[in-house]
Amino acid sequence: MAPQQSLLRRQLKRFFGTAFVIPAEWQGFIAAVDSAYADFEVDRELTERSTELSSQELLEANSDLVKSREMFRLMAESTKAIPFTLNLTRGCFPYIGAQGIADFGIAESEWRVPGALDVIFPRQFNDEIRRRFDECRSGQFEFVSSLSPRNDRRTEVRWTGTCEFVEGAKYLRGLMLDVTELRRLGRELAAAQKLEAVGRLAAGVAHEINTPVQFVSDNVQFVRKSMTDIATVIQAYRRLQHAVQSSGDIEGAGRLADEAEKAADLDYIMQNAPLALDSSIEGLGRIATIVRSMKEFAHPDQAQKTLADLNQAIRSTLVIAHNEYKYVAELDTRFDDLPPIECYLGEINQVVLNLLVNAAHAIADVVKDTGNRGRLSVRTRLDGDAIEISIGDTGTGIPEAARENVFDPFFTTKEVGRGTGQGLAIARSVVVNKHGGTLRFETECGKGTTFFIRLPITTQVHGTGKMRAAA
Amino acid sequence: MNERVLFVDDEPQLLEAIQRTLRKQVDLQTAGGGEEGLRVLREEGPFALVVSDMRMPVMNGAQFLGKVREQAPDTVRVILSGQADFQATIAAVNEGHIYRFLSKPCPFDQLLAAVHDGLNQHRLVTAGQMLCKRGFEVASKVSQSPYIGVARSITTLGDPPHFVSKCG
Repeated sequence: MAPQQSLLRRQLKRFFGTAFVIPAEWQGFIAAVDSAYADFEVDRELTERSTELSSQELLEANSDLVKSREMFRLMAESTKAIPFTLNLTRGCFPYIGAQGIADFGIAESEWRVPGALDVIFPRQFNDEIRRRFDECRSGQFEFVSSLSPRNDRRTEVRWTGTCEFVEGAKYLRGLMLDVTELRRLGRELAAAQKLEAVGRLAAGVAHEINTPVQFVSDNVQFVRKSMTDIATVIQAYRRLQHAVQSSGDIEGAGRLADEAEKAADLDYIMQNAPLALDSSIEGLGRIATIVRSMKEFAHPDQAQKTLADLNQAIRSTLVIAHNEYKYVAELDTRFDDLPPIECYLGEINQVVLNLLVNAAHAIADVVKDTGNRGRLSVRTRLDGDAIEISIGDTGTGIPEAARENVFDPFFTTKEVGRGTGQGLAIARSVVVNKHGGTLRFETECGKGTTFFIRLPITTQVHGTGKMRAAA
Repeated sequence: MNERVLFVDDEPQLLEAIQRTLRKQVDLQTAGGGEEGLRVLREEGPFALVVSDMRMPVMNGAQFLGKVREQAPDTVRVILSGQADFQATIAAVNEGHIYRFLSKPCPFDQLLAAVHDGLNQHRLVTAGQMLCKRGFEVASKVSQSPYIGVARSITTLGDPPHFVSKCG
C-alpha cells in the first residue's frame, strides 16, 4: 500500500495514542478514504506533470519566439532597406532599424523623442519629403525623394509602406532605401540609350547629309569648269571686238567666236549654271537644316527646366529621324499653337525620337519591300492645362500579350540590334516622373498604334518652390 | 564599242548634278530608282556600267544590282552610297557582285576615275569574250578540218568546243 494511503491510520494513532486499536468496523471507511486519497494523488501527479510539461513547452515556444523575432529583426535590419515606424502626429520614430541608427549616426533614443522628425529631417532642407509625408493618406505609399538629414550629404531615398491612423495618430510604417546609386545607374542607362539612339540615327543622318553634299559639290564643280569654258568664249568675243575696233579680220574672229561657243557648249552652260546654283543653294539649305536640327535635338541636358517651344523641337526631331521613316511612310503633321512649356527639352526630344523610330519600325514591318507607304501622324494640341503630343502609325499594332509589358525596361519584341527595350521605359520615366505627365497608347492589331504624351503646363513637379507658393 | 553609263539614285538633284559634271566625259543616262533602272536597262540597253545608290525605296542598291547582274551579266556594277554601313556594304558585294563601292560624297576626280575603271573593266570583259568567240570560231574551223582526226589521235587535246565553252 502506498504511504499516503496510511495517512488517516497514522492520524488516528497520533490522536488516540499508539495503543489505540482501530475498530474493525472502521476499516471499510478508512479504506474508502485511502482510496479517495490515492485517486486524488494520481490526479495531482498528473496535473503536476502536465503543468511541468506545459511550462516547459511554453518555455520552448517562448525561446522559439525569441529566436524568430531575432531572425526577423536581423533580416529587417541586415538589409539596406531601413525599417521604420513614424508617428507623424508626434513627429517621432517609435521604431527605426539598427542600420538606420548606424547610417544616420543618431542614437536610438533621439529618434523616439517627440519632435525628433524636425531635428533629424528639418523642413528647410527636406521640404520635398516632409510634404510627401504630410500628403500621405490611409493606405499604401511609395515615393522617391531626396533626403538631406541635418543638411549633410544628399541622398535619394525610396519610401514604401503603409499609412494608418491609430487612435487619432497618423503612422507611417515601412522601409526607406537609399537609391542614390540606383538612380545614378538609371541616369547612365538613359544616357547610354540616348547615345544608342543617336548612333543609330547617325547612319541615316549621314545619308541625309552626304547626298546633298554630293550634288552640291558636283554642281559647284560644273560651274567651276563652266567658268573656264565661258572665259574662252569671252576671250574669243574680245578678239572679235578688237577686230571690229581695229577693222581687222572681223569674219575670221566671228567664226572663231562661234567655234568657241560651240566648243564650250555655251547654251547648255547658260541654261544649266543657274539651275546648278539653285540646286546647290537648296542642297546647302538642306544640310544646314539637318545640322541645326541635330544641334537642337542633342540639346544639352539641363539641371533645370527651361521654357521651350515643343512644336519647333518636334520639327527638328522629325528632320533627323527623316531617314528612318521616309521610305516607308507619309508624314502627316498638325501642330496647334502651343504656349511655351517648362520642360527638360533634351529628354522630351529623346522621348519623341524613340516614339518616332518605333512608329517607323512598325510601319516598315507592314509595308516591307512592297513600295507601299504607311502614314505617320504627329500632332500637338492644347488640352485644358496640358499639352498633348500624339504619334500615330499605321503599323502592326502591339500584340495583346505585349501590351502590359511595353513600358518595362529591357522588354523588346525587336530583333537583336534593333532595340534594347529601353526606349519606352525611359520615355515613361521622363514623361511621368520628371514632368508629372502621362504616357499612354491606343493600339489595334493590324491597324496601328498611337502614343499620347500629356505634359501639364503648370508643371507640378515637387521641389519647385514656385509651385508651392502658388498652391 | 558600248561605253554607256547608267546612274541610278532616288535623288533627282544628284542625277542632274552628275549629268552636268560628267556629260562631256561620259555617255550618261539616269534613272530615279531600281525599277526604272531595270526598265531603262531592258529598253535602252545595253550599258557598259551601272552606278547605283544604296538606300532607295522599294529596292535597295544591292537588290537592284543583283537583278542587273541577272539581266545584263556583262554590265559592270558600282555602288555610290551615302551610308558607310558595314552590313549594307557586305550585302552589296555579295548580292550585287559589284566592282567598286564608292561613298558619298565622292570627289569628282575619284568618281570619274571609278567610271573610267569600270568602263575599262567592261572592255576587258567584252574583249575577253570576243577573244573566246574568235577562239571558238577558229577551233570550230579546225575541228571541221579533215586532218583533225589525225591530230586528235596524236594529242591529248579535248574536244575544242568543250574547251572554249568555258570562256563563255
